[in-house]
Amino acid sequence: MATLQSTGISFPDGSALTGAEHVVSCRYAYYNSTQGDPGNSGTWIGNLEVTMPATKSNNSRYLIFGESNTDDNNQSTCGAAVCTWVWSSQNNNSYWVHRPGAHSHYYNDGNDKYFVLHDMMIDDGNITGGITAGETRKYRLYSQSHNGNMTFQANVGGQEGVRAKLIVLELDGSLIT
Amino acid sequence: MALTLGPNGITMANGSEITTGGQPRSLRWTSTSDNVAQTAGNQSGDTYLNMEITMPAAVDNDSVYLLYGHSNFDDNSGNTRGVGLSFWIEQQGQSVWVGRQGYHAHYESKPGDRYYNQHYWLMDNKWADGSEAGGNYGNSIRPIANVTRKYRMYYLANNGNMVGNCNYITAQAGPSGFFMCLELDGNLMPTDYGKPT
Repeated sequence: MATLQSTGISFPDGSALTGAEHVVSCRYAYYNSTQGDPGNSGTWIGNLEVTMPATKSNNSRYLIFGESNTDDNNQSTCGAAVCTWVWSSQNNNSYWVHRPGAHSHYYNDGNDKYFVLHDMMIDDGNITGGITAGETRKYRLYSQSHNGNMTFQANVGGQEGVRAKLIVLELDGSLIT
Repeated sequence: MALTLGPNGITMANGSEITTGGQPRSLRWTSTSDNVAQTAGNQSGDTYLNMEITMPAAVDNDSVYLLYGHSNFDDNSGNTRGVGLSFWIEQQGQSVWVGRQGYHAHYESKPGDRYYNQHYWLMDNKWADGSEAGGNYGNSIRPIANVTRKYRMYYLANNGNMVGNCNYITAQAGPSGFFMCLELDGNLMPTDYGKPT
């Protein structure tokens, strides 16, 4: 039987829970339709957005995974990236969590190219308006491109399942502090 | 301060709080440094990357599984090459593809020597019996409490010229292929968010 101790909870297998070091919440979304060239500044990938539940604590941190695939149109050069965006209800502002840049993945030779893009970040609030207990944070995945010749969420032979995806985990602040 | 039970959860002696029941339930991973020559035909079949994970018996049937894998690839300097990773699941003798990036997810049509480090993230929650399974969003198998799930990583190739998990890259250290699975409590998500309804 589990037992309440002065420092935490002990379990029959000998393990003990002495802190709240856990995942607080998880949300994820997918988008499968192809989209035309997003341009340098960034275009929202479909309706790829997750709304996190009310933030547990000012110390919460958000672990973000984003991914999509692209195809160029066989011109002499191409570049692309996927980016993470957040909106905070605390100040009704939106921020870039991370924009790798329009040519963070880039080729300057002419041939047909496909590639898969990723953006993995931790949002600690430093450049995103801070993190405040009780607020709502919405995360989105955006795309960027270099030369006006990219198709996102492209069809690929043999492809099965989701293409663009956004997965966000809220981590308890005690994991870090 | 001693542990206290409050109206919203548990406050630990170190001041941290547990206010929800959602937790990671298990984590398994595997890695390898072998070279996996392509065994399947061009575009027509998947080559096994020798990475398999058997998850412990599912804590409940609301579990969802976060999958991640990467592998180094080398072509044979042909005119064109392409590759994509695939995740496979087996439960109670039934197996399906959780997802496949496709055989030219990473691709170039220009001659020359190429190496790719291919990555794949996926949340395994698209059960074939759920409303979200339509529209090519995957076809996975709903977890069953106390039943194990086995995952593998494969690759599809555009031409017959790829080597996976390649271990002969300059200054390389550590594994050349990696595969992990994190079982998450369905209580981390809202009702109907990957949970049985």
